[in-house]
Amino acid sequence: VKADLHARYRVERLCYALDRDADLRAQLAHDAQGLLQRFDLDPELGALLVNGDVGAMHACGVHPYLLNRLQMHRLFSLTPETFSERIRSGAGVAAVVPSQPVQPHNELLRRARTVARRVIRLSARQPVHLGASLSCIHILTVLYFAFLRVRSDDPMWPDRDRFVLSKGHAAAALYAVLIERGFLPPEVIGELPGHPADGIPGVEVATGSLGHGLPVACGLAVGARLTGRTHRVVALLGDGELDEGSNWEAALFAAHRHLANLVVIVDRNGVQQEGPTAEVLDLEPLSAKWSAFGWRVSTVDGHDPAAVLAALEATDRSAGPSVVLARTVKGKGVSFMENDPAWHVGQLRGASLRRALSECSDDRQGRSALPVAQ
Amino acid sequence: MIGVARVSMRPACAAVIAQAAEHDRGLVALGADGRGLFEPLASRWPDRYIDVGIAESNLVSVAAGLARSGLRVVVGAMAPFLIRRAYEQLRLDVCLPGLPMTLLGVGGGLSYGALGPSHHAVDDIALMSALPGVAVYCPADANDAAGILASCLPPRGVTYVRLTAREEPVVPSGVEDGGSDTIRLLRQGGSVLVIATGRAVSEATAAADDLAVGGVPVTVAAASRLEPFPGDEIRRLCAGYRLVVTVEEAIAVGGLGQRVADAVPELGRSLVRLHVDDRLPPARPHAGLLRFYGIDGAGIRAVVRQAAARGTGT
Repeated sequence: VKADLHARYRVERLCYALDRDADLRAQLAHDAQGLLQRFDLDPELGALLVNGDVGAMHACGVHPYLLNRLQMHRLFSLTPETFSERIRSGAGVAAVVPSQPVQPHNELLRRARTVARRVIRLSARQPVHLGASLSCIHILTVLYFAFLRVRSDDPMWPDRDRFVLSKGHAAAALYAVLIERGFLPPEVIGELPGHPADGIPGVEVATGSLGHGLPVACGLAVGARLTGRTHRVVALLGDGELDEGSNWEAALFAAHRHLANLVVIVDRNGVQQEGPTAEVLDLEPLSAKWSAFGWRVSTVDGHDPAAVLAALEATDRSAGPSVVLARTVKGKGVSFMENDPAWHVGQLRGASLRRALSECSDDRQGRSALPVAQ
Repeated sequence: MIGVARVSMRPACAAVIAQAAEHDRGLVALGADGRGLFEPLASRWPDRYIDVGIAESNLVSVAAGLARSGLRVVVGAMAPFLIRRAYEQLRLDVCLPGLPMTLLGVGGGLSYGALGPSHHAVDDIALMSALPGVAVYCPADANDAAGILASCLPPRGVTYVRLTAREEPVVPSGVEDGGSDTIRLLRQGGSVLVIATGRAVSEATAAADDLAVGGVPVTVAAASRLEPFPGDEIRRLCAGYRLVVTVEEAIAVGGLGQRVADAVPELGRSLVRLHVDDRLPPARPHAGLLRFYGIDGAGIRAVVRQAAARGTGT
């Protein structure tokens, strides 16, 4: 089936409306044809929709996020299983190896700036955890464009690497990178919750209460072993989050069980809500603590994509759990936010919005207060 | 209570868990430095039992990760610490996503007796009921516990089952013995209905037997499933009784008495609720604590006799 831009748009509009409107879903049950006519769907696309052929619709260019929402509501007889099966076969990508071609360093930096601008633009609409989001954008970009084996067309692909954003308040950064990687359409970013929730394609585990991501990741890592899978489990933690004792229960557990498929990245920006971690609750010597707990530790510049990637790739050869301590700058890339706890949560307007966007633009690279790593 | 057989819930449940593990190879069990419930499973399939050490927060989150990996998970730990220490993990990691998990709280209520209030969990039913989508059971004895567990394994959603820690009286078989999801009628007669849950059921049957000898028959019903509560069934059952007494080894909030009051509001003053109150318990064994809070056979007999004396009861 061939579908032009407008035909595709009409399908997406219907999917979007069905996701939001319970009355419309009720109408679908007794008058599907009337609904298709009201939304002016092409007969061929309408037939695909009624048959729940998400694969063929994806092949036409309909966004998998919206198709996935149909499955969430169990519309058109879709289930998680039939959805996964059809979207893979229909898109004709079943045989594609989903690991990302390794992107050159500068390309990753460019991607990261695009992601940063998405976060900044979001903060024009609503308050965003800007400081904590901007500090981990290079890490997330490396994960999603160079390291994690994931499929944007099939977020629940069983062999995917599992990624847990334990510092859930950086949700804006995760959403922005998921958009950049094709998991989510750009329009939805303003409608998503302030912490990652289940049901959002690409979100592995709902988080928000700190100190949960690593323990759950431990369960995922043991689960992979028990189910005979070889995927990795990666959790991104904030450094302030390490105040929570549950992390250290999990750190003992992971080392005791030799969870070699588990990788933790600590976004070591050194600043928590009320001020420097050294003043609120000192974490140092942090590297020695992880080592003493039995983890393989490496320390990198968290804004240097090549270095972050090298550190992550080295964890694949570890015999036990690994932690990458990524030295970062809270509010990275926006000069007036960097290292300032006042920007833990913020909203941008007018001149400050324009300045933030300009400092993260591609033609300004290298000219912000702290230059991006080259 | 002399002469009544006493059986521990743990070995009865351990056998059920091992049997379920035999049928479902995706069933795994987790404990926190206590493997009484999992010995038969762990000795047969060592890889399928995971001991996280004395770390209940981690216990629950690791269990969540396993459930998210497609496994069916049974978690067993001491009730006070499983629930109060890991409450946030239970809510966010397990209940909100509605993972397939059965949670077994050993030593719910006052079961740990003289070990003191640090080890009591009279709030377990209320706390677990406050979480979204949890089925909450409070079995009357080892047979009941084994039956409930068999019905919820392999887990499909989140279930909490309160277990006692020691050997407890076996509840005599009922007049009508339905499944664990229904109200079981254990004694019938008179115009007083005693509805009990958990360990209090054997206190209620013992009290009924004593009262019957004295010429005051009462009806005794056991409610093991508290959430979702079979309110309609309770409503039908209460019709025709002049006095309804609820007995539970739990605080009033979220307990059996409150649920009966909500289900049958017209009972009004004809409902007497026996439950644990806020007083700090003395150092006594389990039975002594039931006496202290007035939720034992003596407490039940006293309420029924008072009602009989006032002429409102039998």
